Amino acid sequence: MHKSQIFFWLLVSFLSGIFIASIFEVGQVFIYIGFIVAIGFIAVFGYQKSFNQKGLLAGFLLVAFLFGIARFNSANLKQDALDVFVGLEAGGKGVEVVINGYVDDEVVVKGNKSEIILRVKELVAGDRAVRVDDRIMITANSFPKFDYGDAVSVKGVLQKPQNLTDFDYITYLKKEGIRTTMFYPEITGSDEHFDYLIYHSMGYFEKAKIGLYRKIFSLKARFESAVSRSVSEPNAAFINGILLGTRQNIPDDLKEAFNKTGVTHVLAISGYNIMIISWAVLAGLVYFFRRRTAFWLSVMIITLFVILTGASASVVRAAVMGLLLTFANGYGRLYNPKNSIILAGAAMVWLNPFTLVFDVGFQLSFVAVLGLMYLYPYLDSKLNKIPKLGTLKEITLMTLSAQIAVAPLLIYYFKNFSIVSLPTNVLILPFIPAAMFAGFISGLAGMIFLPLGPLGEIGLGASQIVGWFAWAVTTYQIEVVKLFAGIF
Amino acid sequence: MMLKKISLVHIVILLCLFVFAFSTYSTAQEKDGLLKVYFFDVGQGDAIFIEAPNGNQVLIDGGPDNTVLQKLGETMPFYDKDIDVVVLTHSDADHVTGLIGVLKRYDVKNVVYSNIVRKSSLYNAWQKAVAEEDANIIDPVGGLPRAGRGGKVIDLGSGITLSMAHPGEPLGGKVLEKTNNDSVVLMLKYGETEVLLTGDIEAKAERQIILSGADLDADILKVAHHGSKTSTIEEFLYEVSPQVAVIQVGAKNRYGHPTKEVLKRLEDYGITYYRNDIDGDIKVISDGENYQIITAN
Repeated sequence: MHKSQIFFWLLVSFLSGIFIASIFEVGQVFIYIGFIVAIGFIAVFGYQKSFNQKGLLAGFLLVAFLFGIARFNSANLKQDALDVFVGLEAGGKGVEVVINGYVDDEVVVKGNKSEIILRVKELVAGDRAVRVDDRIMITANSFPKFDYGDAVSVKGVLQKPQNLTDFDYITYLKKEGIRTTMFYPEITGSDEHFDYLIYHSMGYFEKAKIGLYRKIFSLKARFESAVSRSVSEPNAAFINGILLGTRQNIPDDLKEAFNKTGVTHVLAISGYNIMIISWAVLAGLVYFFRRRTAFWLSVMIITLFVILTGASASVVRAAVMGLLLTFANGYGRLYNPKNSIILAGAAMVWLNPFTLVFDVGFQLSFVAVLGLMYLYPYLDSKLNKIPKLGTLKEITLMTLSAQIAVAPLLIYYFKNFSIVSLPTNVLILPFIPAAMFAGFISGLAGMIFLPLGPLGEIGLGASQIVGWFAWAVTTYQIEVVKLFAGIF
Repeated sequence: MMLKKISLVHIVILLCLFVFAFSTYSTAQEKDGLLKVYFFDVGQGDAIFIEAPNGNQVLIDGGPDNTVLQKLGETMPFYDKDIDVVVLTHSDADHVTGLIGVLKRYDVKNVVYSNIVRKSSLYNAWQKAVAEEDANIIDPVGGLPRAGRGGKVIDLGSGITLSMAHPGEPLGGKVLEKTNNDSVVLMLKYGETEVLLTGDIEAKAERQIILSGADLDADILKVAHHGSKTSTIEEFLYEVSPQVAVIQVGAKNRYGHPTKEVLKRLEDYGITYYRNDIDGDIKVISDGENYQIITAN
């Protein structure tokens, strides 16, 4: 067997290990016995006299498989210091504790409540103070507003998350590294003494990270507000969705329409979305640079973009997938596509073992990439008689192959498969780059000219025209979605 | 041969021209000498948008969340990011929340509100947004013209006026926690058509307004406080004697609004009423003589 094939199968066994451990509870004993068997195999078949390549390989594959199990278990069974204080009761009421820490992600506002993820650095229960370093989900009123990095002191009762609906909320939070929650606690904002205390308990890298992300998120917020100042709703929310993946300002009925017509993926930063960006950037750069240079420049721009959106796990994943696709389709030669894609997948699963089974987004984008890599060239070669019609054929076929690939998953998870999805995607996707570009320019212009006051008026006027352009393109897209959602 | 030259860029440009032509056509249609008053369906809360025939726009309250932004996006022309007057009747969450988003996204020229002192993070966020807006701030003082000491009047042009009937005295700087009875009450007048907008006033303020001797007669009454039984007392209904009432209320709200008491009072007086929870967005159009009510549902 060729070396690269061995590599491929090792990763497959690792992923299978994660998969099995996600579904069944695999005990320590099983892992120990497995390891003894594996070592046995390797020792026996690796020994000169009884050398057997297949047996040796089986041994190594078993090791990779067990490794996967162990990796999942270590992530799943990890104890959380906050866990210890859950369910403390005195006189039938939960005991309130004080947790001190900082806001560890962008705050999500849903109607009049907000969801704040806090990184807790210190827990005070009674007269005891404990050093911790865990994340917690806090549900609070939408006001006062908190930003990423704000130091806060929270007083409330620690609770375990519960699955109130079919949705597996517990695992969803676990995937985010969260095992405890608090509902409507008393939140005190930061004062200087407090900031000092929190920031003093942190290492250099954590502090640097907070500082950097604070800047990134405030830049992002300024950009979004500039877009919504030059384009009216819901178009502004739509533009912010396709550019930055923020979905919270999109009205529910419109979100529903996007779901029905199978185009929600444009509102998230998906691999497909990143591919469009890199494809558009590449197409623009090829005019000025040699193809190879243009390609690497577009990789750099995508990286910058990922950082700007906050580099959340899902965006990084999308970028990896998108760049893999650009490699495969745009650049022409990928050294070994099969191995690259499974390596990317395995690396992401290694970092967060929950993604493989519990992250629908991961599965969808992974499968969509497979569809684009294997199904698209096949369809393209089968249908080479049909004229190209600009980029229309390419986009139709790409949409078709991605849709076919994700169909089984969509049916399994959402119990529906949208028939109108294909026509809606074909009508919308060709205009996504135009909408992104115009939205980006109007946001950027707003950010530059708004602070200039009267001086910036002329610039603002000019950027307003770009804003109208963005409005027109997105109006077309939104109307198409509404139309098809109505038919279905 | 020609077909080959048409690329995606051309299609995009054509598309834009088409959308523009279509929307400017429908905007041009709207310049017709009509006053339009929209009672937006924003759930449990108030949001009223007034557009004068000359294009002047007033937004009164913003509802409990950012839904009002969608409504404005649908109602205002796409190129219009200016609002002439924003009124905050009082600072409860179901009136102020959406307005904060409006100040952040629109260029607002005048803001009418009582700059009271209140311990509420939401109200603080509003004050901050107002400070950043660089708008002309108007402190509301009531008293309709006939009351002797005239209250403030905002002239919207085309003969349309918006007069303040309440609060009776400027409240700026006062410490207040309960603000319903200090709501800004406005009388919108266009020729023969009069609309009374009452915020969340309760019996106490209604009596004060009656005692001020103001001419409260109106065709359309926005029922105060989402139809709570502590508002819309019979004496007030008698003074206003509207033909039509509008109740801004959200479906299945936890307060039980509108209450059956208020609905009965309206029915007893023979007043036709519309509700946002049932009728959706409610639109009143008037040419200064007659008015017409159009509901979404």
